[in-house]
Amino acid sequence: MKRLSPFLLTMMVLGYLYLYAPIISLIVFSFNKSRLVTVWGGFSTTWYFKLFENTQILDAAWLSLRLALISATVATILGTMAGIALVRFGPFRGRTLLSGLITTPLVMPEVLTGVSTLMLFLLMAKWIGWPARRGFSTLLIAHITFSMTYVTTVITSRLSTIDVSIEEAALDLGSPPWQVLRDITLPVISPAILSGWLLAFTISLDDVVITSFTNGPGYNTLPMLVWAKVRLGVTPDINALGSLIVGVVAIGVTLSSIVITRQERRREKEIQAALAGEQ
Amino acid sequence: MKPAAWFDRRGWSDIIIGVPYAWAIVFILVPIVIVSALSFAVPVLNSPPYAFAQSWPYVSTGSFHRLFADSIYVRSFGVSLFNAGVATVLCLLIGYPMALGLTRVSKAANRVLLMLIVLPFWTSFLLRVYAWIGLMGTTSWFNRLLTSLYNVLVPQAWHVPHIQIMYTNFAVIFVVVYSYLPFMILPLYANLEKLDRTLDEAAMDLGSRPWQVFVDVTLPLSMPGIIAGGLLVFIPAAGELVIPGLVGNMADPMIGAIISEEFGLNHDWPMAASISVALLVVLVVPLMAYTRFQSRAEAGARG
Amino acid sequence: MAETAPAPGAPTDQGGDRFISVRNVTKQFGSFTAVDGVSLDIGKGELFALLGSSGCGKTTLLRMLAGFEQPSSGQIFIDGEDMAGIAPYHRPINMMFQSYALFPHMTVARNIGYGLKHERMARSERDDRVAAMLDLVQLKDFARRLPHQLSGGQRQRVALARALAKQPKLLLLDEPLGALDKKLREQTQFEIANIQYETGITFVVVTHDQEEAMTLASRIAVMDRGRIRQLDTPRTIYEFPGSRFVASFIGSVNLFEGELVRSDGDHAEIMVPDLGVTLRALLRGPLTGKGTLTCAFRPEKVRMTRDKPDGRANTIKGVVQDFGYFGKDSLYRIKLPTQALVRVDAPNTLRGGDDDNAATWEDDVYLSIDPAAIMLFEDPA
Repeated sequence: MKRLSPFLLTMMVLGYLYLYAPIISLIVFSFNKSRLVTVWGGFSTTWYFKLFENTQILDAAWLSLRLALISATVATILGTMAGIALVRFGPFRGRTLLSGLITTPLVMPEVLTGVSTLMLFLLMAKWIGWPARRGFSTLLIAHITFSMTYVTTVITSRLSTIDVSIEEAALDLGSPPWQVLRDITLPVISPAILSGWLLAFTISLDDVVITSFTNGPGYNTLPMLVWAKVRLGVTPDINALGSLIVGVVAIGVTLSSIVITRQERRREKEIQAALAGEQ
Repeated sequence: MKPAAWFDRRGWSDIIIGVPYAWAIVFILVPIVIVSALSFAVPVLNSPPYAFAQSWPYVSTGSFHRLFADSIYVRSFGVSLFNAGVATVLCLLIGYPMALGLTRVSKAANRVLLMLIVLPFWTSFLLRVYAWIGLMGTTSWFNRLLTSLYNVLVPQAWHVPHIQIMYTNFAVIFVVVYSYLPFMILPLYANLEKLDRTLDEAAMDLGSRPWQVFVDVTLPLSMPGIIAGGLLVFIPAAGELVIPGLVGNMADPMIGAIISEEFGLNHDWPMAASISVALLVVLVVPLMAYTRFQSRAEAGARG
Repeated sequence: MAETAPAPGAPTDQGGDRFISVRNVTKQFGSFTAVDGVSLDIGKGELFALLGSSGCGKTTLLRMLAGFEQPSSGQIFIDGEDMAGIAPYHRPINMMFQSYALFPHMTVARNIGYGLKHERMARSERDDRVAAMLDLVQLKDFARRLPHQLSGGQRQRVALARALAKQPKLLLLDEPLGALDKKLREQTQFEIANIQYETGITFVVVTHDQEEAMTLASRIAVMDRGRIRQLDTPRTIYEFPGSRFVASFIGSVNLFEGELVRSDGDHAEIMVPDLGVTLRALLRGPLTGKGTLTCAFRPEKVRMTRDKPDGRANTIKGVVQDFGYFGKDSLYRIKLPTQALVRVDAPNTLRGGDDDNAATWEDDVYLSIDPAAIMLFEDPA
């Protein structure tokens, strides 16, 4: 193990300060009594109560949550299908186009995705009469589309590390392909499917730009609402909202990483025990 | 290496290809085709607000001409690329030592520190920007801290009551760097972590001092990580819409705002489309260079 | 190695009936021909090996038997049935994969029982079969473990049990010992042969390891660049290789080119410039006199003495240039006056290093080669 030089240590300390100073400041000032977000006026939890009385925010949060749940689920199904097709179906016709299309939204600035998707919706409304108005369905389609590309990337990178011979072994033992998919492929990549879903969920929950192009009046997601409020100025209830989100995420990530670390340790121990048993 | 295929692709398995394929064509390919086509149309007062020329060659390059003729477009392109470029370099300068440091701490510390890099990803992007808005405001502790530091360092005549950070280009770069720093650190770390430690030892054994080892061994070998991280920062930064809208100078907009404005406010679809196409071309060029670099590197690794 | 008895599972039937019949099979991947017009028959209950270096087409042939690849041309029959167009999951064949390909999310018992799901079989019968298989590979206590909780040798045995559970007509083994360390290998080698003998199932083993092929198999097909170069028993392949390629591929050999001086029915005299002598060799077939004539002899067939032996044919004088002590034998490199090097493998029959007879550096020695030990090849160069 190489020692950390003083230079690297300083840079890391400063870097983490840079990353966390605003977040910590956000949390501290969410407990500020004063309306001014940056001048301390004493401790209070008013803003949290105000937050839960604000039906606008609660409605937006509920909309965002529904949108994220549904779009992440559909995107995970589509993305898993695309990933399996890309990695396991061999060189089918149009494979290059599919993989190109899947990577496009990942490398395009969001504003381009937003503008082009909105143009599509407007022209579709003109040509086939749907969607007459933009709302939940257009938001859903837009969110599914970009989330799907992330899920596909997660699935393909996992699937390509899995030895294809375990699927061949199942075929060899008499399972037709759809059973191989059910019995072997899907269970083996299930952690990747789960993390793909989580990624899709958080990306959907967090999206501003594409949502701003594809939503309709009355369909304000939480980030849209926050954006509108922030444009008008900084208010402490947003601090409270931010702190809540940070808190939930921190607890979730910490818990899951503890579970994962435990599992890994146990697995390592088991592998070592198995190897020791050999001799 | 040809992809392994264990499916006999008949019947139901066509669905597995067909459904995502159809979705990708309708909602990814068609929008791109529409934008490309509309960039050659002319704006009209109608719904939808565009028309194609009625006679040969049916297309108009009017929007592209305006793109180069009107200085606001050229300027906003310049601002976007400048901001994105500076932000990328800053991300690299801050992110590289952090990524390198992450490879040199104990395993337990590495786990926690890495988690702390990823954690902001899972929180709201908008709220992280919002947190900075609070800090950059003229009355915040951060601004006062910076101001007093500044006032200590410069002669009395230059003293200021506070530093104007909000609504400047500097604020945009500062927040972009903050928001995209993890995108730089993670690919760099993944790259540096894979490097063979014995190479460092070999270089030192052959008489190189630590700084020379870094320049001769670590830096060249981490080029793929630098490029991957650089693109992950540069591309979204160049098209950034939210950050300049919240903390930037409205009088000097970036290209994302221009596209949004042409489309939403001016209803000039062809103009919005041609700026989009131009932005794609500008951003696709470095991407193509990158994929070439990568495939060459892979070919080299195999050979 | 050549003198070991045939493996316990050696069948009496050496391919007399055509249980598996490969007829002129060719497989092309684009412009690359992986398997080039291979024909072979394998008898029921035989333990057959496909031996060759990587890229020789042995794995492709195996995958065509399993049904993962379709032949570009030619036919494969198993038990009289044409396999063309039959999917891998409908073939009465099972395979033990090189990587073992154990299902990581299933216990040992579920791995072994997986293939039985597709057979109409009562649950109790299935459990009995799994138990019998666990017994066969001595893993009774490991039924509820997951693959990552097993050692390499145990995983290998699970893979074997899983492939055998369906009682296939043919078991394919892809480098079955490849991932095991040397000690475990020897032991497993005999286990596989025993299991083959007990079950009576036809085994086809693919390997690049000649020792593995020779100890396991009753017959070996030596493959090179998509073709079968020789198909015979291990002993015949070692002692009577059909070509210069096979001679040098299996074991080690001294090869020298020469010119036919005279042949008198059962013996030939060959002038070998590199050895500086005319060798007398026993003829095992007529010589055509066309192509390059190569004399080959194995290092252990050369007798080395300090004093000039009397009355022996093919005696050459040389100097010890190098030798390596391997315990049971020593390998010498003898430099001849012509500057050519001859490899000699001398057994260390006496205990202790001070064997008076043991030659060392710069010693003069005499080599003599039995005329019957010399192999003659007329390969076109």
